[in-house]
Amino acid sequence: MEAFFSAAILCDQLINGLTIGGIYALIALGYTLVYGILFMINFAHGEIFMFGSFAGYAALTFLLQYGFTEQRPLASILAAFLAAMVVSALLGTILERIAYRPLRRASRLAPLISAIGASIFLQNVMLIIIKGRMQVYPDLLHETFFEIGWFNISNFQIMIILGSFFLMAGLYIFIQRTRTGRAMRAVAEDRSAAALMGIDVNRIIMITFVIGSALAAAAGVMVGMYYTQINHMMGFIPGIKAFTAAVLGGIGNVPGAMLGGLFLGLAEAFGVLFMPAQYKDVIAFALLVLVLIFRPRGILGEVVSEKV
Amino acid sequence: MPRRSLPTLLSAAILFVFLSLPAAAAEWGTIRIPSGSPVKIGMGTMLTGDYAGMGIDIMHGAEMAVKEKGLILGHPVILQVEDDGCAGPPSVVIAEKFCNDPLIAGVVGYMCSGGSKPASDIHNKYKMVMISPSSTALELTSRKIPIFFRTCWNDRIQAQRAADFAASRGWLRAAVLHDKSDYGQSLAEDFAQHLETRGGEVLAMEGVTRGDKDFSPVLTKIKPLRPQLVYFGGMSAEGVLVVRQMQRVGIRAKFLSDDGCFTEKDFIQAGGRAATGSFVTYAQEPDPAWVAHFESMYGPRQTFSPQAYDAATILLMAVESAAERQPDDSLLIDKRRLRDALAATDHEGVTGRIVFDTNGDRTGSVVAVYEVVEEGGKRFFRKVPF
Repeated sequence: MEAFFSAAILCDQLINGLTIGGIYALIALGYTLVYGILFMINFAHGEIFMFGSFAGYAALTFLLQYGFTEQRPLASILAAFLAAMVVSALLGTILERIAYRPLRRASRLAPLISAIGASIFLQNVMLIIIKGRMQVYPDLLHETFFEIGWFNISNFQIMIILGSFFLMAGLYIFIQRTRTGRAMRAVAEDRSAAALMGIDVNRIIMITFVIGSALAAAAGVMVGMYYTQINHMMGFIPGIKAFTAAVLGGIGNVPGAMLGGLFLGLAEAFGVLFMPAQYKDVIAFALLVLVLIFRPRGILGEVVSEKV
Repeated sequence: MPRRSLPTLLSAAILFVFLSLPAAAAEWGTIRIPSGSPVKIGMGTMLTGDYAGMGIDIMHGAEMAVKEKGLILGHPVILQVEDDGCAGPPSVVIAEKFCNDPLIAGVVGYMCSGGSKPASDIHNKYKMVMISPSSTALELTSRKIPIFFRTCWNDRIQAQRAADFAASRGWLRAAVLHDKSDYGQSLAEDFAQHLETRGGEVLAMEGVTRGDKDFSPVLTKIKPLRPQLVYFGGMSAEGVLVVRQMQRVGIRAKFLSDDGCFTEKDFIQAGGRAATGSFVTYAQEPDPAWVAHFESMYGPRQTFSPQAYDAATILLMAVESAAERQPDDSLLIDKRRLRDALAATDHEGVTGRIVFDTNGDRTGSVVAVYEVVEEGGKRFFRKVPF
């Protein structure tokens, strides 16, 4: 057993955990932002993530055809992120407009079912587009490893960890410091009072979907580049895990979703050291049950009273 | 309870026997295709969801065989495809539907062992023949179900072949992974068992989840055990990630997997450079002329389309030999004769000679080992002499 706990293994698992945790956190933010404002779980969020990944893939293959990726790999990657975020943001807005807004005054169950329907619909749209075949991300940045002390980290892992922290920090500043961010917090706290204060609630809800979807799209491109293969079902498991992360952290709470995602990623990585890998998913959901028993509103659910 | 006289009981008993007689004779029954109606071949395969690519490939194989056949004794043949979800519950529903459709003569399917097993019980009740192109679980042919056949191999043959291959190369310290499915887990367990009888040592046996993308935690755990070989029982979606992530965490072992990973696009292309040097077990190479023809119609083939083509072909041959054309142009197919015609198949298919043993398994279907090799900037599967 000692071999399992050597410092090098622990460091490796720390990197593994932070990488997957960062991805969970980015997706979890979309759940939590929408829940904070609409009190609904957007179960089609995993599919928005999937569409983002495919949009990035389309952009990269397009650039590859014209040889642009050879000359400017970094610019191409940025273009892929941008394309993905735009497509997903559009998709999120359309979804909000046709699947959720008409049901905003209906019982809380109705938009939930609508979301599940949208999720199945989007999966099958992509199935038809790609004819059920796995698509492979072009390998632009050849994965290389760096040895830093006990850490053995690849350029992809650095990109994902830094990228997700950068996006999360950006979101936090946006919500705390900008006028729109303040309006988002106001709508989350009391929608009708915010409307009375002259805030355009529909616009804020739209912006929320745009931001949440764009973050999921970024995660989608990261997943595509890191794991290389994408298919129409790729949104399902990350979607469920990220939802778990959002609830772990306290759904509706932005720092909570970030914390929940990283916590879940690390718990999965380290948990595997102590028990057979078959139980990796059990770890995630057992943690969820435990947290909900002792802190029904999630880890940060009560510390910060305001949502968003 | 009122007393009944002996004669009443006796006559009731006679009546019962009498009534059950025609039932016993009609136990297998016949299929009647009215004149002008098509003969339908049912097919259960995965059309949506995770392994839809593999399922659609199977559909194309069967579709090609049905198109080539065109007519049976003046009746058009059509393929009715249903989505079996690679799982029990949808497969059972489809099996009920097919077995109660008066125009369906037989079924090619189901795709996954988890679906074929419960579906075969229903088929057995209605005595409708089924030929799975891709369900490899051992137990399917060990349950004495007369209407079940398959054009693929069974998992034990495949796992033992893989273990023999590993032992012959001297890779005796193995870590075994599987995807917790009926398919992957039974392969992994048979492999482990057989490797141990060949003097090998199984260092770890771990399960991963289908659809998961990150296996670096479990691979990081395996790394200090220093295996010579990682065996993976499962499908390409996860298998290719295991290969890539083995390199990522720095495991320098050989990788060996099963027919689920025998796919050009999903394994070789998706694996990139990391896939080079991996080994997979799969059937003998299908007829190259057939492959070229198939790919000109449907694009790159994946895994089980040749098996599906052969399954549909022999089913149509059996239907043709068992069907009796009536004066009014309708067809009468005796289910017993159809099953016997299928069991007596001796056909040179695109996957080799097809002959069934008494359980519905193919005889002499040897599993071959393939290596992913890289030559002139191209990566492909090449059969390993073994």
